Amino acid sequence: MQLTTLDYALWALSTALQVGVCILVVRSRSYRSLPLFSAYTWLNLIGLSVGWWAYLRLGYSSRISFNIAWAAFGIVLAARGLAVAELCRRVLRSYDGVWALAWRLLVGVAMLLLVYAGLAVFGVRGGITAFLLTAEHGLELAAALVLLLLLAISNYYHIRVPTLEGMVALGLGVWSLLQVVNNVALLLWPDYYAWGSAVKMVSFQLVLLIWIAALRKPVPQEGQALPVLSQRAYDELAPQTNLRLRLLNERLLEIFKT
Amino acid sequence: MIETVILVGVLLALLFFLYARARREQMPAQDSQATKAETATELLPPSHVCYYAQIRQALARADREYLAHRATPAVRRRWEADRRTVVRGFLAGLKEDYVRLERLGRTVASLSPELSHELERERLWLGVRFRFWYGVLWVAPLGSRWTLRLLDRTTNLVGSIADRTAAAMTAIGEATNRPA
Repeated sequence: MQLTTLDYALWALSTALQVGVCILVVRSRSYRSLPLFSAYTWLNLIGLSVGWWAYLRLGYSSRISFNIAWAAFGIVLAARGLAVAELCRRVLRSYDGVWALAWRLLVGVAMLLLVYAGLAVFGVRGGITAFLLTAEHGLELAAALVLLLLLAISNYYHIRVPTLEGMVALGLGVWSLLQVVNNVALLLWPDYYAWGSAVKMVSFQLVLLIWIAALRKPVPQEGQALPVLSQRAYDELAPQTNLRLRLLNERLLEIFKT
Repeated sequence: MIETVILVGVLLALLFFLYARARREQMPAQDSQATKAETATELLPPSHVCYYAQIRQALARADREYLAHRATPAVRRRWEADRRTVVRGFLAGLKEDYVRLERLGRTVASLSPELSHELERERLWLGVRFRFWYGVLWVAPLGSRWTLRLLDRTTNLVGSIADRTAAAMTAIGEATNRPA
């Protein structure tokens, strides 16, 4: 199988957008707040370049280029997993109580989905490509569901998700979910492979555009005030709130007694 | 394949919805403690629940039986329509009470250094139950004993969440005062 003009064009566009993201990561100093995500963007660029070089130099059907490209992909996938974990910690870490409750839940869901991915891979037939696609499918689903859970927890506790973290999470989630569909199509229809590659790159370009929009502005410095009740504020707020709740409760009880 | 496309479509919609909500409803992170205290105090509800006795009276079967003998069909129809409007207004108020209390509970939890797993799980479950019974009541026929029982149950849930929130506040107080 030969690379088409469309492949070259999409690869060139992806590389240009990735270079843009990497430059913006440095310019906006987001590597300070999201070091693992920043490392992921750089690894992604390196991985893409290595894959590009291997296919260009050794040919699309070469076994070595296939191995190099998938090895690079595995490293990038692991880096993405770490970036997702970093996002969860970054969004929730200031909220001690919620974080203590949420990290167990997030790790539990991730573990459950990774076990599912492992079991799915265990029973797969159809060679190394099917094996890798099934593994990727499970891992992408795990990443997407963890990100969804993160946003759901943030919504539930009215926790602020900063613009950068929110858009990075959105991009990672969109990417993972689109890959889930793409991988299923690739597993079902082998003829879809050329299209699948194009769809993958176009969806990645979409995600890169989301990240470029997020990284355009410099990341604001972290504020000093942590959103945790101080003892004094709590001592003032808690009795007031308790009194109102008790009154409401007593009124309710009166209604039920009548 | 079609199942995967539907699942991913739903998850994508959920992702965008949660992202949009996280951006829209977020509380400012740089707030001073005083502003936070004010925000939390504002969350305390005006209690619609205190009108429950009147609503229960309005749904009493005796009124229906009385009107069945004394009023014309047109009057009875108007009475039914008015009654439904009043009950739905009460239900909307009840939901408002509940949502505010729930929001308060969550805000207090998010600001606290330690959460009780049991209380958090219970508040989540109470929320699911309240919304379920609220939905059932919204479409339930008026005047039946069943409707009254449902109203009792739904109103009771507002009381339960008030209890849970108070318990959470106490638990947080104890945790904060505990020596390190």
